[in-house]
Amino acid sequence: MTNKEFLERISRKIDLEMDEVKGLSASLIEAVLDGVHEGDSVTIQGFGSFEPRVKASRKIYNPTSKTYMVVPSKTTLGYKMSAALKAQLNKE
Amino acid sequence: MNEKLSLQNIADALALKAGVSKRVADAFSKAFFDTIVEVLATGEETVKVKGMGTFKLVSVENRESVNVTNGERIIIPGYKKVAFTPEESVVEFLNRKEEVHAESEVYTENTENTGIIETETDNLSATSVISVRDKKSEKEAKDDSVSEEETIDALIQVPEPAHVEQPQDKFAGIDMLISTPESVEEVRQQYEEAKVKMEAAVAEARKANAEKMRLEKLLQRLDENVVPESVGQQPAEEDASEVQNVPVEVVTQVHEDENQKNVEEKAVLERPIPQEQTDEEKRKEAFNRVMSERPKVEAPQEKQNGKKWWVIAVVALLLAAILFFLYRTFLNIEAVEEVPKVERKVKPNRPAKPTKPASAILQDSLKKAQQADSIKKAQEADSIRKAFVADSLKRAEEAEQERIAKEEKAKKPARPATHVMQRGESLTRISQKYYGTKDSVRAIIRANTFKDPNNVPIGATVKLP
Repeated sequence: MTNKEFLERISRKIDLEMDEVKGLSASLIEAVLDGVHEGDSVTIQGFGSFEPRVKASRKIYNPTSKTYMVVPSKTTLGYKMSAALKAQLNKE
Repeated sequence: MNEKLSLQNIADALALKAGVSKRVADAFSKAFFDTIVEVLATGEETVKVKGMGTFKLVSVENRESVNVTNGERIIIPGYKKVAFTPEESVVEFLNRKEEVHAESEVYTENTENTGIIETETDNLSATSVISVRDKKSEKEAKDDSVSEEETIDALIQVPEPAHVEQPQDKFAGIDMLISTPESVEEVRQQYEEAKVKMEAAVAEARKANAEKMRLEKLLQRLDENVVPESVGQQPAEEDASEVQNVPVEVVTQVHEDENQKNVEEKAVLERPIPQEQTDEEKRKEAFNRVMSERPKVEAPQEKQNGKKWWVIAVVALLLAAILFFLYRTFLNIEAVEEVPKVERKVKPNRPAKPTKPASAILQDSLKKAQQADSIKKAQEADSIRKAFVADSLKRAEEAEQERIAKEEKAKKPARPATHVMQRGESLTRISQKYYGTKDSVRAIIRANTFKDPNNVPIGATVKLP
């Protein structure tokens, strides 16, 4: 499902215009990312939690030039689904 | 830091950010995540959320494990889970706090402490002018793996600060880093290349601007066509002065915008305008022409229309009559057909009456016999029809079964009793091929006597249980 279909579905659900939904969703995502950026974890009941995940720096080897490089550590957005969501998806 | 935020906190932040009431923010954030869950629950594979990432439904297969307490083999059942892949922009945003650019660096023995490097790069950028002047000595003293990217940036920025275009290709940067000894020359080359690129860009921008001017001139001329005075001289003079201005403009624009795209875009935007104008004029003319011609055409049409109405009415009447006739004959046929049916229905309910005279009884019996006959015939016809229907149903069923069987055959090749191992095949793959699941490996191993189930020789015959 593409972003557009997704937003359309929301707009049908809560009876808002597409433009409003677009703006709100952007702000919502920003709010979540701000929280994660600060180092907090954001838990949404029935959905899951977002948290910053630190990928450690690592050495890589370039076989053509025979040199080692260091890929610096970086933070990505980690997501783990909640137990409730897992139960819902595996009902059958 | 390290707090746990809930949906409520997020909704509050959203209300602040978007300037909506808390009630709306609450409802929206709930609906947002509920929708994702709903969509995934309906079996949709992925949900793409712009600005965040992709939620994807992934199924985890059954797997075997060992019960730690009693050593029994157990099967952990598979399940579905939601995997999330963040967008590139999200990762970029989360890493924004570190101001030192995150690029791969050459790994030397001294690169153990990254903290030192950061301070050193900071120092370097502060003294970048010096680093450019005596880069060679700096390079020699650079066994402590200073980020060379920084020097490159500095090199390009310092001598001509107006040049905003930098070699942004990461790989090019890495390539340069790899070959440390020649890097001074390469840096120079890079700089030279950048300069050439810049010049090309400027030339292109100049072209684009000239084009723009030309178009503007055209536009002006179009405007002036309305007042046909001094068409020849004025625009030309203006043009000349504008052309003289071009280089200056271009240079400033390039410096401001880093590239010539904007200029080109402007040119593209302005190009269609004159055409549109003429189009509109044409349309207006056409419209006027049509308007003026219309009354002449309409008068005869009305006369014709009067005749037409008559013809249509007559034809409609005829049609109605024919339809009515057909309908009546059809009704008659149906009535005739329905007679025996009615009789059959009525008959069984009628009890025999003993009080009737003999002749009446005879007539009655005759009637009964006739009716019985007709019923029999009807029943026969009925049974034949039923048989026919049943037959056709059967045939349809058989065809359906055949089709299903064929489909199944097409899906799964019939399982032979044995399989000869080919190069590159493993028992797991065979299991997947013949049983559709990897879990049957164990059964295959049990049915055979392998020396080593993990390394079955090519050409060996495997029994399939």
